[in-house]
Amino acid sequence: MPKGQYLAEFELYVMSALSLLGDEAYGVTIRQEIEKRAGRRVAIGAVYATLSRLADKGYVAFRISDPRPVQGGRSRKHARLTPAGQRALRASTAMLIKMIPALSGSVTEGGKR
Amino acid sequence: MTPPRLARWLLRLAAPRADREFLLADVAEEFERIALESGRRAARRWYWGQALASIRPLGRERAEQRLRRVRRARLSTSGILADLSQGARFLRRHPAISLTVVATLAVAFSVTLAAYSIIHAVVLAPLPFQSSDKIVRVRVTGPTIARGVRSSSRPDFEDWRQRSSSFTALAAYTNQQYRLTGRGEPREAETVRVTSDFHAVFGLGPALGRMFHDADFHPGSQRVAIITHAFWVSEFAQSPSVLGKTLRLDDRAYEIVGVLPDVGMQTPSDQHQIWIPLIAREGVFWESSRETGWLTVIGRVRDNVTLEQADADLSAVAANLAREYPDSNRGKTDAELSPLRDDLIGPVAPMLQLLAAALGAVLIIGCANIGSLLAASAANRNREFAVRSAIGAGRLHLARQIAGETLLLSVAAGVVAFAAFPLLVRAFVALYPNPLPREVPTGISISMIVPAVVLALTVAALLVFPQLLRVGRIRAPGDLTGTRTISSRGERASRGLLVALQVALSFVLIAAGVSFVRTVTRLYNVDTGYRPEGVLVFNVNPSPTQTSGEAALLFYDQVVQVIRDLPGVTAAGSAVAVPMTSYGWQFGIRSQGTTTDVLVGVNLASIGYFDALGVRLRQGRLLTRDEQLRGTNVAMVNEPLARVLGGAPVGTKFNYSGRSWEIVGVIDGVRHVRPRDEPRPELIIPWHIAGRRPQAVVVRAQGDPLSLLPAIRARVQAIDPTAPLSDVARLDDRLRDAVGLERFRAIMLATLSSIAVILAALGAYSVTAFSVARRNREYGIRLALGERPASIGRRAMTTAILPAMLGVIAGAGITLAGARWVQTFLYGVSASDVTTITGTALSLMAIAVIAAWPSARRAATIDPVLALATD
Repeated sequence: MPKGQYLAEFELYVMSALSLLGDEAYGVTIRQEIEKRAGRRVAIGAVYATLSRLADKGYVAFRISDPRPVQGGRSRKHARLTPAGQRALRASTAMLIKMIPALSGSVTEGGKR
Repeated sequence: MTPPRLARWLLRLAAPRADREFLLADVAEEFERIALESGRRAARRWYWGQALASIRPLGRERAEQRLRRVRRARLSTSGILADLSQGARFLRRHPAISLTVVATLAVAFSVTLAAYSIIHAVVLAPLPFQSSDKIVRVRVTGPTIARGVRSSSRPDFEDWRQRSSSFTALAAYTNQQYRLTGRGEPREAETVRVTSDFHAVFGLGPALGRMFHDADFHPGSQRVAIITHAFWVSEFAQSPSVLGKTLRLDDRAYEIVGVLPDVGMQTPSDQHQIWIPLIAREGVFWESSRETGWLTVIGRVRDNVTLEQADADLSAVAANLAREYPDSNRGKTDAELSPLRDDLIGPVAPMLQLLAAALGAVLIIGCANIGSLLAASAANRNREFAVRSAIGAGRLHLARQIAGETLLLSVAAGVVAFAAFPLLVRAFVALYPNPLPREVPTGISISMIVPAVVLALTVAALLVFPQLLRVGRIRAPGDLTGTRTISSRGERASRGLLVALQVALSFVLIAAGVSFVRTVTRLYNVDTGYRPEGVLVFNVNPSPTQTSGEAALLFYDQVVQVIRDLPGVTAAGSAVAVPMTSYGWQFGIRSQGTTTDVLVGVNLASIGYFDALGVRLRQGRLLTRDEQLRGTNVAMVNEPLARVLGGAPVGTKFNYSGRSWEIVGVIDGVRHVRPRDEPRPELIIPWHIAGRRPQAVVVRAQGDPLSLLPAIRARVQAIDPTAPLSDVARLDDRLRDAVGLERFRAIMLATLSSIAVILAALGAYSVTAFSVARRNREYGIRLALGERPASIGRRAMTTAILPAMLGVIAGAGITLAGARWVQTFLYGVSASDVTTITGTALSLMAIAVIAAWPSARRAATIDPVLALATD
């Protein structure tokens, strides 16, 4: 990951969701996945805004699906991680894992004081 | 089940256009599910929550996205494309400006490309031979040897070849006309007689057949010939069966053994058609004498030897020969080597330099013109730029848009010029009065792409620069509202300087053009020493089978007699050296009190010749017919030779060729080859001494002498049916042709300076028009405060007149500084002539006034109320 390209928290959530959902990832599933795992309300607008930002960074690519073969079936905008996106996600999570013990340490110390 | 309408509308508004439908459908999908699971109210509440929570992230993302895209546009190539298309849009919306710019640049580019391709082909490109820088001309020289007597004798050449070690090949040749018979009408074929190593000097192999062997050079061996590629094409239609055919040259059969390759130039420089081995001719004693220089020597210097070393080597040989043969080689103490390329190009180089300089000036004027036009249009676009800058376009971004526009214009002009320049090259080659020493490609060639691209890019860069300075000075508030309309001092100064530059270069071109035109009129009116009107000249040679001098003289005598008897002919004569053809042969004499030889031409002229030519007798008398046919010790001199001999030589004796000649008369000097060259000293000895030398016939007639040609031809044919008339021309036409180069220069300069003046006038016009438009408000205020309209008009006028004056002064300075160089092209006029310079200055100032006049008038008639009210 190039210097200065840190992922924001919500970006990390969206990318993790993409990684978990694979081919099934689109607006609805991404929003629900994050809501379910993080346990907080997620606005569909935030998902789309973040996807658009990640796409500009080159981490996410879109695919418009064919209309589904049911009445009123519509096409969906599926999102997936690009190889660069996968690398960025790995790098960010690896860094978080390295940072978290120190982080929790400082919290504990602060609590003692 | 429908989602809440207002919430849906909000969401729709917030979503970016590309995602809008997907986003709404996604929310609707969930909405339906929630409605099914938890009821309509919960679903509506959820939908509202989603909509309200989405507005902020979506709105922020849209703003950020635009910033990101602008930022990225500064760096990425897709951004450059965007800027280019932005530029193209501007150009489409302003077709007048765009077309003007492209047309002006296309003209400037095509002349520049044409000049470059000519100069490249003739001067810059190496000769089309292997290691061509090793090919040299060799001349015999010495401190007392006059320039011009540089040919070598056969024995000298042989000694040079045997005693020097610096050459892989050393060869000699001489050009000669041979009578070609048996192929249609008899005619003179341009033939070059060469020694055995001639082809080796150029590293040439045969295109067909073989080159000469040593055996071909033994006297008495089978006569052989090699023909040039051009001759093969024109005479034999490139037939491969040409080998073994015979050419009848001077009534002798030569077997064609080889064809030369097409090398794109003559080898070395003459328009010859046939090579034959150089074998000393029987009965022509001087071809083997050491006294007579008649061979041109060329050589190929060894790879590991420098030109200086080779020069020293041959000079040592020459010095030894001068010691060994003091009678014939006195003073010929040195040899001089010069690269063959310099020899070929030397005569045309100054002309091409002049062309390049003049075209360069026109190119600069054109660019300056376009530069100020574009700067003006950029100034009018301040508002556009300010708006773009306010919505997030950086200066770099704007700069790239401008660069894109200019590049498009320049490239468009480059494309037009690339298609058009070969036409100019063709026109140049067609109009150039002399043959160019090397062929110039007249088609579009791939090799011109690089110079074309470099030219277009360089000019685009030059043009972009002043516009960029403007962009750097955009100030948001004033430029945005369009109220900042007053140009800065620096902008005005730079526009003025561009006008001054155009005027200065136009000045130089006009002054040079005027001098060149005056040179041509001087040359047309120069006293040549003879009267060319109504005179016909032609060459004719008796049949080569008549080998005796007496037979040849009888032939010329008969020809002159029968022509003189034709009605309409007032005089006729023949001579070895006729004006506008050659100097005849020359020798050097030492005049009193000088150290260098003066060249004296020797002429042999029949009775009637000087009458036919209209040369005046100054002193004494002409040679009588009896002296012409039998005299051995009488001669005439011309006026320049009389001067060298010290004034009044009639009755004095003159030593030449081991004999003493009594001078019986002095005639006017004749300008022999170029009208601009002063008449050279000339000695006229009795005609019969000419022997078998070829002569030219001069006929003076009443009316157009060309109308006599059929009758003349018939009379000559009656005397010798194999004798063709060649180089037939009216002498006044010849004289006019001899001024061809000067005329060409004058026309070229006149054309270019007209273009320059038109461009400079446009420049002066646009600078005032622009300034008046920009200062409308200022003038309005001045008028409102009581300044008189006439004074406002003068103010406006000054914006053009001041730079024009500056330009005139600079132009006069450049003209005076370059006068010495230009002077070499002039005759009878001074390059720094006061009349020319003041005339040029006055006419340019007048043009500037006329160009500024309409705008100045407009400034004087501004309505102050309107000027202050409108913006």
